[in-house]
Amino acid sequence: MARLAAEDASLPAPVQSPALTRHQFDRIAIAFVGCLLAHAVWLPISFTLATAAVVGLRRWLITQQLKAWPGWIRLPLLILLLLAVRTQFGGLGKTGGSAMLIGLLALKMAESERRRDALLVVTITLFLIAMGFLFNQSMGFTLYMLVPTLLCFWALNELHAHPGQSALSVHALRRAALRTARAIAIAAPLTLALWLFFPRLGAPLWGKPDVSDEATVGLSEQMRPGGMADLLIDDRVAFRARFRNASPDPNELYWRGPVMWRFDGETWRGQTRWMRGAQLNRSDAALPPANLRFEVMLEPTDRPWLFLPDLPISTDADANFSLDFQVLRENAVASLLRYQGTSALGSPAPVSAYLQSEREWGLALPPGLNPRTAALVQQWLQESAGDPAQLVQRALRYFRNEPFYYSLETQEFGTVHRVDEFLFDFRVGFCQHYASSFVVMMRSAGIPARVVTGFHGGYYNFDGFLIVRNSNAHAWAEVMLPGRGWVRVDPTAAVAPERVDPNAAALLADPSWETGSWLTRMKMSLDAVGTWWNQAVLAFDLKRQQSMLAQMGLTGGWEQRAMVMVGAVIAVGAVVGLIMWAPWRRRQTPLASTYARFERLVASRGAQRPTSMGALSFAHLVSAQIPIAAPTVMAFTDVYLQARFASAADQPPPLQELRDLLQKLKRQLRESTPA
Amino acid sequence: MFFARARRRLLHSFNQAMERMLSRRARAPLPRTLSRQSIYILPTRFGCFYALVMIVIVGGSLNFNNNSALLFGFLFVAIAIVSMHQTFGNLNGLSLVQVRMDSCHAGDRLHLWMRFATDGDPRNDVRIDCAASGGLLLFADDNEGVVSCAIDAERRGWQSLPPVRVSTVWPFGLFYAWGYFWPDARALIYPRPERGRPELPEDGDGLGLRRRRSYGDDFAGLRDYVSGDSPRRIAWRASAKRDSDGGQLLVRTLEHPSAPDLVFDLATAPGNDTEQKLSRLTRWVLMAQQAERRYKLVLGEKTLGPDSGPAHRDRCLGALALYGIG
Repeated sequence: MARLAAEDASLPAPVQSPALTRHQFDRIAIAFVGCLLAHAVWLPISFTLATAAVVGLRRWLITQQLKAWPGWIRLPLLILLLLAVRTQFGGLGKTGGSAMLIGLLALKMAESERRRDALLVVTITLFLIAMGFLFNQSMGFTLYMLVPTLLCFWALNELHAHPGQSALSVHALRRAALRTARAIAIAAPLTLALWLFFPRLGAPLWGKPDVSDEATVGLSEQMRPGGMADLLIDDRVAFRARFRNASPDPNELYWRGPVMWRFDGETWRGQTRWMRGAQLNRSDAALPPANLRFEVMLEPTDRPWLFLPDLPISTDADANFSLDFQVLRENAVASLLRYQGTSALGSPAPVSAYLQSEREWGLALPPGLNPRTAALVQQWLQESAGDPAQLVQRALRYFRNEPFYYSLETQEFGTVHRVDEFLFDFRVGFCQHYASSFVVMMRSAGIPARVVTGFHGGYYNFDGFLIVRNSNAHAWAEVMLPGRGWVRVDPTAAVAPERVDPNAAALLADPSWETGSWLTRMKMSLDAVGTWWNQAVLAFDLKRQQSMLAQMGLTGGWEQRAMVMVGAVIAVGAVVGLIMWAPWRRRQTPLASTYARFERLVASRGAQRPTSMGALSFAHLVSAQIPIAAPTVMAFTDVYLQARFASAADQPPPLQELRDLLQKLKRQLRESTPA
Repeated sequence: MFFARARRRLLHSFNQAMERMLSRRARAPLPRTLSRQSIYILPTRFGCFYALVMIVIVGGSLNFNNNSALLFGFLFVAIAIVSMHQTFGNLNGLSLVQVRMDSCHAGDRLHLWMRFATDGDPRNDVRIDCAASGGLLLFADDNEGVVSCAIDAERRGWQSLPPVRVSTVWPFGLFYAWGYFWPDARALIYPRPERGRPELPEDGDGLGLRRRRSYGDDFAGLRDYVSGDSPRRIAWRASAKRDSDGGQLLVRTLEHPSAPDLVFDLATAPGNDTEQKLSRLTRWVLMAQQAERRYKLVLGEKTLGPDSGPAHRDRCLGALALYGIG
């Protein structure tokens, strides 16, 4: 112990991290607020304001030359923060965790007194910038994030600068701007190379990003007539699609999603056993030939369905086809997904090898419900003499001729006989009501039927992408007709056009480039830019990376990819080094270049200056080797050394004199050369 | 606490090892330039923390294939890599051109000025450390910077310049780059003057004290001010007249017609050992200079003077500094 103490005495005293100046605090505060503004997109306004207030309060305390607030206040504030996160976000999920981090950072900033605190704050702010992309990855948001990023590095620079050195002269500013521009010019391609070549993961190694606590609307595995109204007024994009060899009419495209079989009188549900278990065996069903090739960029849904136009035939995505032609991924689609696929447009879904099961499921009805519907269907059955096709037509005619209205404003059901209520009492509803009651009618008539949900319609942007929004969500029916398979019937389309609620029609109207206002056009242009961003940047994944490398002639396994990546990073690093330390960039002072000329001149006569030798010693060496030039060499060295060690402010270096002496030396050397 | 101490000890021994390694190299004449071979660079503690956070960001974004976050994670990494080059470049090509060390007395601070030149690229926040003292290199323009620091002068004789460490963490503090200069420069350290004002050894004729009273009254002429002159002797009016042509202050020189020469002899100086005697002699020399007396210094066989003036004083102090050393 004594020895240790003695050793300690010889050590330099521990250096305390320097105190934070007001300027430095301002820089970190600006960087933090820049980042906070980005998170304000999803944070509750009260939380954002409270956080900003804490930082503002601290700034005010500094202005008043007061210390940071007392230490005991930390605990109550921390508890307050925990409570706020608990009540507002319900724990530490994605939003709760981010909010917690933001709050902790604000508290940390409020008690920052030293540089080390500020360094921590800046680093965590950088982390928060990256975290912001959990909430939004659009191009505008990403571009905005460059602002807090630059602010962070601006703050870091200030934190390590001597106060006297950050003078705001025009010269210093221009120099700093040039330097920053150069650094960015080098960092940008390096970033891009890392991003393109760094090996990607095929599947998450841990966890899955939870988007669920962000109330996403979308098609789900169950359908309750009337429940889709929220979705139908949501005009956010569900997915964008581009077709390879055609541009089909959006109204012909029924994008197939969850298929519903089980009805309990209120809610339709999928056939979970079929969804997860038995997969479509290609030989089971005679698949029609594909006639449509397309590419889809699906926005995150937090559900496993991929949407393909009826009838889906194949996809390159890592997904399975169920027996009822749903396309399902193992995991939910948590980030933008880009996939290609083929479809057989207009073909009915073939009945699988499990014909008996499909019949059975397709006829199941909750017992004792909707007696009026059953009676009506019995009456039709007698009229049509049991022909299924005729019965379908009869039902559609019923929707067209009776006063059925299409509207998103529907009445609440009052009894358990909901289909009866809709068909005979209300007669106002939207796609879910029509599809649901139609399927119930068909099943009552002994025709196997099922509800299919998905998307219908959309509009083409000028960049060729078909934009399908949440408001394009739709539900329709499929009936099993002997010899034809599952035939699509869209009972909603049977409603007479004049009985469509104009409000709903306006809500569901698609914008058009030709007829739209300038606002519409601007929106569509922005969408096109966003689409480019989505497909070029956000949809880049392991598969795209592999195909990119394959295009470069690299098809090997991960070893090869790792080598490519290392090679690319080294190559980019070499380019960076070259740009920064290029010999051609090395600026020599005119004086130094004059001396270099002298050296070259005497080197031609065999006099080499060892790197460690000073100019004067070298002059003696040269004089000894070339005696005839000795006076000139000494004179040159004398003038050179005087200029070299004169204070820079004294006078400009006597370059002309030096050049004259060099000329003289050259002459002397030439004359002394033996002929 | 324990880790902080362990870290400090590790850093300390690392620095010592670096300096030992350096001391085996030959000192080289100026100017010397820092280059790839002589610049070292390591991440700072903050740099390591930053790297950790970057690993988390890149790892997390790869896991969830969040391309925007990944893009920014790599941007942060790329900025750090570029900053490494910038930190290195901040030292690369920096030359130590000139070192000036002023003589001082043992126990005082030895002041040194160092002049650095660049190859035309401006430098930012370069720190210079020499022994326990250091400062920021201040640039008058893009080409030249100066720094001054003061180190302890411990004992008389020649004191050579300890290694000069040049370091920087600019621009972001993620990397620490450093290099050493060890120019062949030395300063003469005069002996430590004895404390107090011991009586000057007046020669035996006993007239010293009485005559001294009349000193100072006989105006002999004017000369330039040199540091150490009593302000009372500055001829302000004459200086002011001269000021118009930008000159210096003038001081009155006084005739001491009857003041006897002083003799400072090491052999007869009081003191227990040579060092104490040298201290006494040093103090006497300073006092005699202040009083503007003529004095002679006898160091064994070597005799200086009798003479007066700053040049004589420096000669005497130099001889005292090197007495018995070389």
